[in-house]
Amino acid sequence: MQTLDDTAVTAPEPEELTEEIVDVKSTPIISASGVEKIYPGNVHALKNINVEILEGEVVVIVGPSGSGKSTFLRTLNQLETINDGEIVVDGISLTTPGNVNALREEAGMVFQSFNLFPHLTVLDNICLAPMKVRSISREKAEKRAEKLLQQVGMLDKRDRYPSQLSGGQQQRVAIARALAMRPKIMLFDEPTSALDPEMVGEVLDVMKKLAHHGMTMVVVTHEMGFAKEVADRVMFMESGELVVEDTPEAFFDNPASERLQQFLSQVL
Amino acid sequence: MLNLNQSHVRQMERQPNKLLWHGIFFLIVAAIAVGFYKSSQSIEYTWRWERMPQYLVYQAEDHLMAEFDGSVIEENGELYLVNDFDPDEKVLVTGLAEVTVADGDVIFTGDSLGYNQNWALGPILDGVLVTLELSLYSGVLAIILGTLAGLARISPNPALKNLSVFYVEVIRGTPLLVQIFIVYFFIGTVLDLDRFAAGVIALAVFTGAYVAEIVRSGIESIHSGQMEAGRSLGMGYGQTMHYIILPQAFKRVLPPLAGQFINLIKDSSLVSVISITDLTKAGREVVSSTFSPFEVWFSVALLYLVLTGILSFFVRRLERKYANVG
Ligand SMILES: Nc1ncnc2c1ncn2[C@@H]1O[C@H](COP(=O)(O)OP(=O)(O)OP(=O)(O)O)[C@@H](O)[C@H]1O
Ligand SMILES: [Mg+2]
Repeated sequence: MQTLDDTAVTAPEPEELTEEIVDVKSTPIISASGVEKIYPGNVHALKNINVEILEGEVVVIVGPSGSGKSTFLRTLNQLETINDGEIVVDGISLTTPGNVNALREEAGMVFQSFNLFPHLTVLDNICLAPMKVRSISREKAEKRAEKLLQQVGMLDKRDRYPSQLSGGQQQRVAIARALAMRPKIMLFDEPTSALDPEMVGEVLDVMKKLAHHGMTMVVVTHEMGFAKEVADRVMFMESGELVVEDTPEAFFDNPASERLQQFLSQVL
Repeated sequence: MLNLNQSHVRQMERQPNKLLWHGIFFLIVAAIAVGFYKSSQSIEYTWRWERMPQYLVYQAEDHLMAEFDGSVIEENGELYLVNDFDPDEKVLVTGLAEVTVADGDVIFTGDSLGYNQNWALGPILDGVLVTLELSLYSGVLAIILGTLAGLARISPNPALKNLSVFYVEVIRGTPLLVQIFIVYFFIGTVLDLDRFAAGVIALAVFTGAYVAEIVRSGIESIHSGQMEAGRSLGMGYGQTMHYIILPQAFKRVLPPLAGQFINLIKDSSLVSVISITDLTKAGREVVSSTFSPFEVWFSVALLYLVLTGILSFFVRRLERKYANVG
């Protein structure tokens, strides 16, 4: 990813998030307590989840398929409602009705299947939400979008449609689109799982840059290399429970449970 | 996608001799035409196609009538009708396409002095216009009604959802002809509607139910990730629908929607039962005055075909316009 321009990332507009490089990670920006999620059909997807995530922290969640990783991530920006417990994001309680849109503006989400808007150009994909939600003028939105596209190395594709891009390119645009709302938190749900192997790197590079510039990130991924290199904490979920929560070193070198050991031996 | 598959299938099959089979197609069509002709001969039917054009357009005679008793007088080479009791009251006669009076004629009030000829629409083309108007008004109403009902159908609100299901099921479960009678005789009487309005409403309500189903399935065919992406960017449900879901759904519903509007044009023939003089009713009237049912009904069918054909043509252009994106 030679196109990723470091100075572009480090010289944001005053109110841009990436500027706040938090050295001492101490303020919780997400805190979940006693979270329960039961899907229709009595699928108990989350069982008594208690997590605190600090500002600027990068948390990686791993676990077998169906263990509730996506569900947990989706509860953090209210794409799923919870049945019990409480989640507070940046001081906004999710259990209070009416906070939904305010919260979603704070938390950007990147999906496994990109979910770009196929009828809009790359530029319009990025400009739409800032213009409609934040009522920013088109010129201003486009200027910001171009800057973000430059940061993810996609500026030359600004007028393309998503179907004309590779998976890796689409995912980088999707990241830029989420960043355009200037979120305080970025949620990633297996952002590289749908990509051909040769494109995984370019997306991970963008995510690493983001992490290095202080973005609070919660990442569900099977990329253990990314977890080792970038994560401040790694969590292991199994059948709806948060089983292990550790620093990457301890997590990988000294697995705290038999089940985790087994899981790691399968994925590493 | 479908086209791709078809051409793929075609490629796999042995190519038939195109010329031969096109020839056979025309032979079959010719055989059918001859069959019609022979069978009409066997019942001793006299074809009078030459009478048909006058029911499409004809030359109307626009007569100039005398408004008073008077005499025709020539002055400076021009004919005037002059009032017998008031010589100052004069009407110029020269200039009409066909003058039927001459110098010195005595004229009484109401007599024709001559006429201009104008092309006028015959009853059949008048009927085409009425059919077009009916289809256009009810089509626009049906889109509005159908979109609202389709959105209500997928709304999380049970009242809206049930209302929509109720509407669609009732309309799709009853014949259009019966619905037209109900709207005309019951609702039309209560609300004091004229027949044309009743016809438009009946057709719109009927077509709207089918449009609702098309809209619903169009929206549901858009991947749920699109709604999630919109919502996760902080856009509301309505905004996401408006800017993300509906534009994509529109492209997908265009072909079935076009089919529904072609049906609407054809279904509009049923409103002739409440005496709206649409193309079908006009056909019936012309038949009863000409006793040439074959010519009339063939002409009427051809005109419906032209109307639906024009619609298909424009829809196909619209489809091609949207085909490049997404
Ligand atoms: N909408 C839903 N309705 C019912 N059950 C669901 C729904 N979504 C997920 N589940 C169930 O909830 C459980 C957790 O699912 P989730 O998608 O969170 O797992 P995951 O850890 O993300 O798995 P994967 O690695 O396969 O993405 C699974 O048993 C799944 O079948
Ligand atoms: Mg998942």
